[in-house]
Amino acid sequence: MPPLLTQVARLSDGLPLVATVTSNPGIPVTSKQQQEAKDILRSLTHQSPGRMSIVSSENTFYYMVRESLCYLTMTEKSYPKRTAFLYLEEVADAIILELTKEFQNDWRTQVDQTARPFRFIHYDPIIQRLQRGYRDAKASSGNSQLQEDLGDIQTIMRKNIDEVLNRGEKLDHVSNMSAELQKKSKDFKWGAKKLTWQARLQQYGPMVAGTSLVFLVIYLKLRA
Amino acid sequence: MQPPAANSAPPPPNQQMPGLMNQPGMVAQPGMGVAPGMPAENIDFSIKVPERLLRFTTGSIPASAGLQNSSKVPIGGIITPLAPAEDEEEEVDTVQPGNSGIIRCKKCRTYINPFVTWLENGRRWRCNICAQLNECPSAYFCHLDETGQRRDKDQRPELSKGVVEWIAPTEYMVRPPQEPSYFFVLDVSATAVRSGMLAHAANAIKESLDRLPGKGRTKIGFITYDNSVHYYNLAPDLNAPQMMVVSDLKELFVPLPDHLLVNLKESRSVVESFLDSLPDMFAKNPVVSLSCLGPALKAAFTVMKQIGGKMLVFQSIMPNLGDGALRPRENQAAMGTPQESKILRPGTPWYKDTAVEFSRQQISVDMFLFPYQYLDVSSLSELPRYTAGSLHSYVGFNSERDGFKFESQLKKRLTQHTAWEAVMRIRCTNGMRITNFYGNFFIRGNDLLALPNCTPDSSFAFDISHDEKNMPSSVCTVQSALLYTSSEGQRRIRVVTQAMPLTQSTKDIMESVDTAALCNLMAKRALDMSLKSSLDNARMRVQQTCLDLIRTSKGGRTVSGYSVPPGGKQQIDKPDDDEIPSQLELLPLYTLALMKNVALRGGTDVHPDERMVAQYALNAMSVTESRDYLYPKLFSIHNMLPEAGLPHDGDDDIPVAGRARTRLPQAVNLSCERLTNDGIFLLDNGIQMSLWVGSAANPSILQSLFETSSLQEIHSLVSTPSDDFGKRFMNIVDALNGQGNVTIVREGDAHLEARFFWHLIEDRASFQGGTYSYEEFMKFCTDPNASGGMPPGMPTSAGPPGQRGMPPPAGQRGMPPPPGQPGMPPPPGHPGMPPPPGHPGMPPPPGHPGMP
Repeated sequence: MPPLLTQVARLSDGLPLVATVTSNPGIPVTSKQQQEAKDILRSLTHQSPGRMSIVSSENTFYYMVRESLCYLTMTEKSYPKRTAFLYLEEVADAIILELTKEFQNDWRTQVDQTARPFRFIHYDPIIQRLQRGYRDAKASSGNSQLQEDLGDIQTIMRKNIDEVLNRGEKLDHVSNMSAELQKKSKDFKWGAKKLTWQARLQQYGPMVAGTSLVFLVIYLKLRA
Repeated sequence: MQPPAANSAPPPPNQQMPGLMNQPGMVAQPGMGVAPGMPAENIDFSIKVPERLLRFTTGSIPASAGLQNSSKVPIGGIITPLAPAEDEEEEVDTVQPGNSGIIRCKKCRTYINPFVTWLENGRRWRCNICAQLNECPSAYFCHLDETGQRRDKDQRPELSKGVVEWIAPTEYMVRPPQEPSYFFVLDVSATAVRSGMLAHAANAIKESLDRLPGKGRTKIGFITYDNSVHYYNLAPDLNAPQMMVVSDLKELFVPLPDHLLVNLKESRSVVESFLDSLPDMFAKNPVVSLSCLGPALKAAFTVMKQIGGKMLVFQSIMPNLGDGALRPRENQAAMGTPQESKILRPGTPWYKDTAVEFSRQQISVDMFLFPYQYLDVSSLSELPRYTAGSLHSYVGFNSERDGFKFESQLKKRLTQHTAWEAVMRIRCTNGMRITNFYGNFFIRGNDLLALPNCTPDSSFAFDISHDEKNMPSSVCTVQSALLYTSSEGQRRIRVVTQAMPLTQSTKDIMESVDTAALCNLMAKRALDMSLKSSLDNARMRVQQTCLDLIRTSKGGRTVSGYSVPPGGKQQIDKPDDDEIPSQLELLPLYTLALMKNVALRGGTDVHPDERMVAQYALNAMSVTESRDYLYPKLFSIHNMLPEAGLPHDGDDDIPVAGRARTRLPQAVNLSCERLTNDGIFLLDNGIQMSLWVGSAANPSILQSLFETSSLQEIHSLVSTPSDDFGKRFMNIVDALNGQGNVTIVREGDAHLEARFFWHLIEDRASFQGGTYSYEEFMKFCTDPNASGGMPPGMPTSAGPPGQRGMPPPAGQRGMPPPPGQPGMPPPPGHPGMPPPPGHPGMPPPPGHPGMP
């Protein structure tokens, strides 16, 4: 089976630029998988490793970063990792070629400045064609030359999708905690103020009470 | 930014100045129906949605449920969300959301619009639908001016215009924007091939290939079927398409899923060679009357379901194999009885179930039918109905006569602007509720209209009713939001918002009625009722609504309640005259036209398929379409002026049509009294045109139109006329609908003439409840008690062809001639058409003030 889903996004904010879903009636891409792909792309930053394979329940995601663009694909678990990265390399080449064709050297600015999701969706047929070429992983693996070039891929990190996406959750947790902290500190501030007042009351209260009592006595005396 | 376009209302500035408050009916009067918690809104009612997009039956909304009940006006609207702009100024503004995203109410998800209230110097805003107080995101903050409006209002279309289109961020996408895809499911039985339908379809598809929307992403695929299903492999590297036949209809398997729905750009040559060979491929098909439409639909669904898109189905005979097989249900004895509704309802739930499944996968069905006998359109039409598609029928398809019309309609459906995987939601101010939707869609959840495709032709109507006794606010706002993917792969949200003042007076409501919109809504309600109950009840309801309205408008000047603003009093003292207010004067005419329309008319001579096609069309019509459809235009051709049919410049009231501003001939009333046997008349209802040729028509005109001077030899119009008269006539035909398809009706032609006379709605018809002529109906409306509140009895023997010989209405029992009809309006002036001369044989009302 060919790669099931391919997406290209901007690394800085995960804004999707091109995407394709295989029109393979046999294996539909579920909206959960779409969401996972979206989440992975959004969780990436400049600090993330340049390549990674991410294992989800029944599929594997592979991503690769090049020139501030991120290329992501999803395959079946049995799909060879090397071929997947070979495919992503080819997608990246094709996309950059198309971008250069359309915008010449200006394409980086175009990519940086776009605000509209899927701005380059019209490259979708190109990726689809590549994707079809990777239909039979075994057949293309006969291409041993390329296989050897990709020997270094063995070193690529492998992570579980939960770990990757949990980072988001952890961040959420941290932000929740900090929000709570903020709230608590506010409460604390209020408490501190209250305490100060109480202290002042304790300090000056008796004096004020005494003085007013004296005045009251004097007043009553004067009236009498 | 441009100032609010398409705005004929009072000038926009100065909204909050007291000056505008003086205009009656424009501004909610302070203190009216305002609950203590709500401030009187700062609403600029001059911000209006263009009529082509949204029209309401009334301009003012009753402030309480009681008032709505007593005024009897159906409250609702008709929305055509993608109606094309007529000129550049009317183009809808596009808004790119900033860092704060699209601003929406956090409680009811209403989109920000010009009618929200800004508070606390712009830090908060109050939703005009649910009254929720929302924080304004800091990135969107702007100071208010002294009138409480934001200072950046004019720079932001979403705060100054009734219609805007947002570019949707990724949160509004479940999947990447889909590719525009077109999948053709073609009947290739011998009937379909012999009629020439297949050749025309192949030709039209081929000619449209260059103009399919999609910028190189467009996908295309084909399935043909007779008693088996045929797939076509259109892989780009093939020289010719490969055909695969699957004859096991129970266990359909899909071979080679990759290349059945292919990228058009890549496989262009294979697709073209397929279309070239298609008609010949099945030229000798031995299968005459077997059709497995159901399995073919399932097969197409399997191929398309990953992407969605438009499925075009071409069917000539009744499907009778596999799932979805139909059987003849026609029953002549049931015609004209309450049993008829049974035939109009679908015979099997299979098509609805399939349609719902299609809708879920974003597939819309456009159905083209070529019936030679009963096809059970009632069942088949469920498929386009619930998938927001269209239905076209060419009865007794004749290649020569209907080929051109079919091709041009198919090309239009293929190349028009199309919105994909769309959903629409309509919201309205709390206290009121949208109760019913009419049109073609499937409702997901409570109120989300699922529209796999939405085109400029798609119109939807809705009823609004009171949810609470009194409205908690002084304004009623209706907002519709259509989320869709454009053919270029952009996800967009078209937001249409309109605020309307509430009123406590029946008079305000009556004066703000939009009759054409009202009739559109009445028609759609009646269609609904005709299926749920019966045609008789539907017609009765239409008639009752009309009578109620006329009665309220004349006598119903009561002002309800105690919160009457000063100034409301004097309305009561007005003398009660018999005049129908000018807004409503066409209501009886349209009502009569609706009752006599093919969709609802009684009698035994309307074929159920014919009626269903008409009902389907009417159910999805916009206001202008339904007005022209119900009350068609009848032009007298034989005596048209020498200037008619030539381009006309200038903005005077001379009626013109089309892009070239072709001057139209004189329009006449829809009554057979107007037809003379030496005349030639052209009838246009927006869907179809008919040319009635009198038996003693001028031979020289016949010569120039048909190239024959004998009435008997007339078959079709000359396509390229040689003389001036013929050219001018063709100009008129082109200007009216551009499809050049005219049915020729010779005087005395039994079948066609009967159908032609159905359109002459000012005459009597021979079914229960339709026996009124226009004059009689007018009389009945203005004074229902005079005729006992019941339709006058009529001998039912007088069939339509006999109508022309009917005695004048004056001789009818219990129907005195109408001297001085009170308030009889002229026939409707279609835009820019001068009122045709008054009714012959009807004395003009002497010096009546209501007569324009």
